[in-house]
Amino acid sequence: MLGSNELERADLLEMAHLASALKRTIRSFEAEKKLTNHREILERGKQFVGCVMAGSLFSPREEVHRLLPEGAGLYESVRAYGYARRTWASSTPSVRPTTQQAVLDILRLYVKCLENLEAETPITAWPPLEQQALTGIASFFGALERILVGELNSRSLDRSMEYAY
Amino acid sequence: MATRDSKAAIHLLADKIASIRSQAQPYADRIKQASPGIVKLAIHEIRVCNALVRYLGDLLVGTFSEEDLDLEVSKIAHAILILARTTRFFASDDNLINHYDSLSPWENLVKSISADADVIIRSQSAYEFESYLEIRDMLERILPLDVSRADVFRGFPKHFIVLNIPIVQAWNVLHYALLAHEIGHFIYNVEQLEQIPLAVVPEYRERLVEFFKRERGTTPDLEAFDDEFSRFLQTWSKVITSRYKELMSDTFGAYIIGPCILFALRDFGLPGFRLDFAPGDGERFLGYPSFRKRFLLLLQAIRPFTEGTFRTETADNKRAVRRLRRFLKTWGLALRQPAAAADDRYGLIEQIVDECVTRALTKVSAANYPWRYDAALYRTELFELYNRILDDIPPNEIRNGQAAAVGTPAHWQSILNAAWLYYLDFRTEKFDVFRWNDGKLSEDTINHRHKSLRRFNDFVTRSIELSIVHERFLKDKRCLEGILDDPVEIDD
Repeated sequence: MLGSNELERADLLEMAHLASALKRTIRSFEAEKKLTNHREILERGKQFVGCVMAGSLFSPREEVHRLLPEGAGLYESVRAYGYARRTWASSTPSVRPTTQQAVLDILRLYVKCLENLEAETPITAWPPLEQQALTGIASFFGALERILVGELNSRSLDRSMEYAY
Repeated sequence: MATRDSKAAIHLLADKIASIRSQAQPYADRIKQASPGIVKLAIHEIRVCNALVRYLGDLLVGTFSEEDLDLEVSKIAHAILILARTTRFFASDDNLINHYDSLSPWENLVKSISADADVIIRSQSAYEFESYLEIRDMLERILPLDVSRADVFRGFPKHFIVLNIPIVQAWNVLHYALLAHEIGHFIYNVEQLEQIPLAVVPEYRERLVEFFKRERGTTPDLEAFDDEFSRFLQTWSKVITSRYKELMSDTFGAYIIGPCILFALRDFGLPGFRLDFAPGDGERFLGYPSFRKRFLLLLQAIRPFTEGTFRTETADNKRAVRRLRRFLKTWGLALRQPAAAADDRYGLIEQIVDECVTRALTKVSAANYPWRYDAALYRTELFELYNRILDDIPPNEIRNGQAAAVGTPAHWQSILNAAWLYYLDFRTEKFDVFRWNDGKLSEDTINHRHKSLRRFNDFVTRSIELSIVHERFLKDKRCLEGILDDPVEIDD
């Protein structure tokens, strides 16, 4: 029967789809060619960042609540945070946050950028820090997508091993 | 642009999707042959397939980098795996609701919890009692975000519930009490109780660090990226969420069906397991609370049913009330005694789960749920129905002591509870075939008990169906504005 394995895989797939859509949306803004459903994608992107914040267990509750007014599950949030950490770990040391405060700061920056894109503020009018962060965010979501697809592929391998025994 | 290799991969995926679609098509075509849930599921699965094929077409003509294209192809391949499993599941059986009227109250119950819900009750032998609630979410999750959900999921209910009763157990109506726990999972989702652990766990952060130190013998480096602590937290957050969800589903089950859920969990859930799980029990230990904790919480949840005045008809009924209360009290006292070798290693996890349950109970106990089984109704109807069973009369209606009066249909929960009371308390006829493997009973005795249980099952199922038919008749009668009240003469 369908079970928790399928649900978990569908969850990871959704996260990978979201990461891919965010990566393409950010790049399309840079190229000034918007996707038709970019607003929905950006909104979901902010919710994902909210989930990562919540999953760190260190973030201020009000901030999490602002991004996730309808709340989130504990496991889903801790898992999202885990994947974000793995993504940063795979990046170059210069862009890797090394303290909990730095993690929170970088997540806040992500939210600001996504909100700027949502408000369709011209990139040239953004504060310099946010302008600089934009390419990094697209790379972050690209790397996150690769990690999640890798995770899905390794789970398929686990499944074939199960059958082998 | 797609290369020759990626084009070949995309065509292969499209072929796989076509194969899944062809499996779903016969079910989608059976619109006039009942089982609307299966038809709805098949139609929407076909729409998901069509959306994926269109997306694959877009990939062929799009301007994706080679790496992006590879990632898209991988993701669609995983979506197909999930889709194929869904198809295999729904295409292998029918909906039991179409065959057993006695299951229809469960469908009505689900619809009273959420109007935008559909139910399929299945019976696949290989699986345990379980519910599968997130079909729509899952089908949405496997679609790329570029695909508009509005078209694909037009007419698909927000909640689509599949309940499974293993075929070997579906024949025994007493087992149906366990469905209440599965519906409890649905209520847990509707009430969005998954948010509570996220509020509770940060309050225990420092103690979780201590727990990690004790378990692993090292101090976690909270800042390091490859730390064990993150993975550790991920595992235990899954454990906390799962155990808490099971406990809340039990509580909602008691709200729905009353005390018989406790007896059903003991007689059909416990055999083969220990009262307390140990780490060696693997998934059972991680994903489920101990039976001890489940029973204690259920004893608390059913208290409103068993405290208060029962409407009894005989002196023996009064004695039965006393026996029932004594039995529950003894049970509670025995469960509160700590296990001989209590293992407090995971005490912190238990505390967090308890805190989540306490907060959730505070939230839900104040709610006035229209679907809740009224405890006063239980105390009013139980013994009248129980006495009918003793007299070998189907316990399908309530006459309130007036033999000549026209009865009212009994509530299906009351019938099930009366049946459970008879099963547990009637001394002359022994039914227990589920805890017989203590080696003391002869095969003849076991066979005899099986036969008695089957007879009893037919009797109770028929009673539930009669009460349902009666209820429908009264509803129709109300609609016909008194036409059916006209006296019918013999000559008519």
